[in-house]
Amino acid sequence: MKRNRKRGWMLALCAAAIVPLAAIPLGWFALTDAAMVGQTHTQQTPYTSLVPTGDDYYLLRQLNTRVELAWRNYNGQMYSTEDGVEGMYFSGATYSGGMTYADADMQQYRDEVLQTLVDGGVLPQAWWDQVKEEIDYWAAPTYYSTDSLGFLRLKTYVGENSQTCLLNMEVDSRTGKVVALWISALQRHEIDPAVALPAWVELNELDGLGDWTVPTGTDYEQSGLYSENGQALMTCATGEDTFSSSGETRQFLSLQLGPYTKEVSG
Amino acid sequence: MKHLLILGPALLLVFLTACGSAPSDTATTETAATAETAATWTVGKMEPLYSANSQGYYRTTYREREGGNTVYAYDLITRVSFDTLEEEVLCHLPGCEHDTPDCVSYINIQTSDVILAQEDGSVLVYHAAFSDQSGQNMLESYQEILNDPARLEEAYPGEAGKAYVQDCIDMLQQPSYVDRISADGLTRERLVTLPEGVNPGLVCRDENALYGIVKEGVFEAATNIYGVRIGLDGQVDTFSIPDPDYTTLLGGWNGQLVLCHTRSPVDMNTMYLYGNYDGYYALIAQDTHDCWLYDPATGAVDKIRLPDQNVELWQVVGDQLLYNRKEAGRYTLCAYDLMTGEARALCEESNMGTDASPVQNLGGMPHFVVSYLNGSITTVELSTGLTWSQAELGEMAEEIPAGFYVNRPVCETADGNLLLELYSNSYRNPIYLMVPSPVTPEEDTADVSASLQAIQDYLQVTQDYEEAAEEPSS
Repeated sequence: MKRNRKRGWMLALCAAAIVPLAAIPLGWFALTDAAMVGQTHTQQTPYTSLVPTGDDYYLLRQLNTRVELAWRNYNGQMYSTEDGVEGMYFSGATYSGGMTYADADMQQYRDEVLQTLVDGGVLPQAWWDQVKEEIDYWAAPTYYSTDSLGFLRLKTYVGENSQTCLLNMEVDSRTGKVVALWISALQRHEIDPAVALPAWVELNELDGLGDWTVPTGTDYEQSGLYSENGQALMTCATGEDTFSSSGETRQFLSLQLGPYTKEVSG
Repeated sequence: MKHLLILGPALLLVFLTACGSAPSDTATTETAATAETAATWTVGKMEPLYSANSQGYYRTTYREREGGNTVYAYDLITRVSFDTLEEEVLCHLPGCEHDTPDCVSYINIQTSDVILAQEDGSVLVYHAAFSDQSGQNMLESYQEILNDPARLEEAYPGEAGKAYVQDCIDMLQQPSYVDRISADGLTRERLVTLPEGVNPGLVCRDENALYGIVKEGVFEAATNIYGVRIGLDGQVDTFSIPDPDYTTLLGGWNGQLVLCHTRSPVDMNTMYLYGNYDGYYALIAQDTHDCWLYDPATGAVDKIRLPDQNVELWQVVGDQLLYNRKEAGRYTLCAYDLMTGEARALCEESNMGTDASPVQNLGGMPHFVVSYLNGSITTVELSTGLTWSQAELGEMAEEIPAGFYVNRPVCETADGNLLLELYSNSYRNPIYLMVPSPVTPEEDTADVSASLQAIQDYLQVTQDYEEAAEEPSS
């Protein structure tokens, strides 16, 4: 009995020693909370909200790299390591002689991509019907090539030895997004850049940039949509094509998405 | 109290009028974002690159020096005297045979030096160094040959050959420069040496400087484009121009640089870089130009959109901007008056695009430009639009030596004569003839009268407008 009482005292003594020790962290937490909660701290760098840029979009990154490397390439620099844009660029063939003759699958792919543009409200049905009619009429051959960044070029000529190009389309092969379309046709049809370009922004999933506006004060005021965040310009234009064929005046439609770093007044 | 009631609508009208009186449709002013530093120089009385002064007309002539079985070509600067119409070498060094680089008028055959006549009788020689890799490759090739006696003797035999190769090396090692040859042909001094790599193509000049544009890179994809002012005091200044990818220098007017801005609904350079050459060249064929007046000191730009939609700009002559109107396969040479904003057609043709090179008038503003009419060289008078073919100019001469034909009018002398250049299929060098200028004093007077009438018409329209504007508030 006596032994049990002694054990009880020992336990009580131990508990009396442990409980204050166990409370030390609580005290410490209370002290640190008191030091932190409700106090004002100045931040070294002020908070800035996250604004999307062209670098956040794969398609624009690819286009920026492509244009930058192509500039250097044209000026004699085959391989470049400057300014964060590193690599070697091969543009791929641009004339039928160096391109691959497209089979039925590739022609079907071309038609599907163009139909996507029509369905997305970018390319008016009348333009697509016009160029399709001419392609069918001439049984126009299609050729393709790719550049070293993976952009696919599809070109359809009036004939195998013809220089009259009915269609030149450039597609990013990974995403299937169209970055440029050139159509040369016998008839011009209406296309409203104010309708086509926002639709193209959406189709290319670039609407997240959030600031596509008409580039006032530039040559692209009537034909363009510009994103300052993305440093990118989309244009949609039609006009006379006196280059493609010397025998007849043709009409062109041009859709183009590219880097644009010049200052644009609001 | 009644008067106070009128005040409100009147103030509203003034406010609305102020809102409506925006800059005119033809010209807006803005500050160029690309003008990084303000120029410390001013634009003087600008003119094209003329090659005649009161003593004569200057050009380069082809010469050959024999060395064994090989001939070595070079150029000499010559002067066609207005008094004798004879061509003489612009070198009066005693005993000079004019066949070595020691001759003050000697020019290496591989250069495209520009010869500019000064009013004091001296001559400026602008040498633009080779910009591209080919210049460096040529230099290395010549050096290798010079250091290999066997190869030198085989490719360029004799002392004349060695001298030729050495001269080419010397030329290729030079940066761009401006030399001055004295009026007496006894001295040639270096006025300006341009910094290494700055090799502008000259466009125009004023009393104190030459102006040009540097385009680094290949033609369609130049990466760095800027202007250069070469002061005849030796000072060289570079300056930025707005939208350099699509802008070039045309000349100067009223203390400002005149720029030619190419306008297109698509960013053509990007199109080119994408490799869409069909699109690029189709747009090039359809592009159009605006005239921009650029003040390099402030960076301010006056953008002038000409009354015609599709135009190509050619030249500034006095207050007139000469341009080409393109319309359904037809081309019309037009003059736009920078002072009044009026445009008028001079002549029309349908075959190929026109051009307009002013014919220097030593007595004042040029009366003529050399253009093309239906595929042939034609001289156009600027106030009347009258034209003369080469044959018609030839008919003005009393007699033309057999086998020769008029190539072009070279310049108009201060006493009202036209110096004509005549070529022959049998001779390398041209001959020169002087004919009375077809511009009569009556036509000059008619021109002034027409200008005065235009100003009076303008003042009348302004007055009518002001009267009409006052009516609602009265």
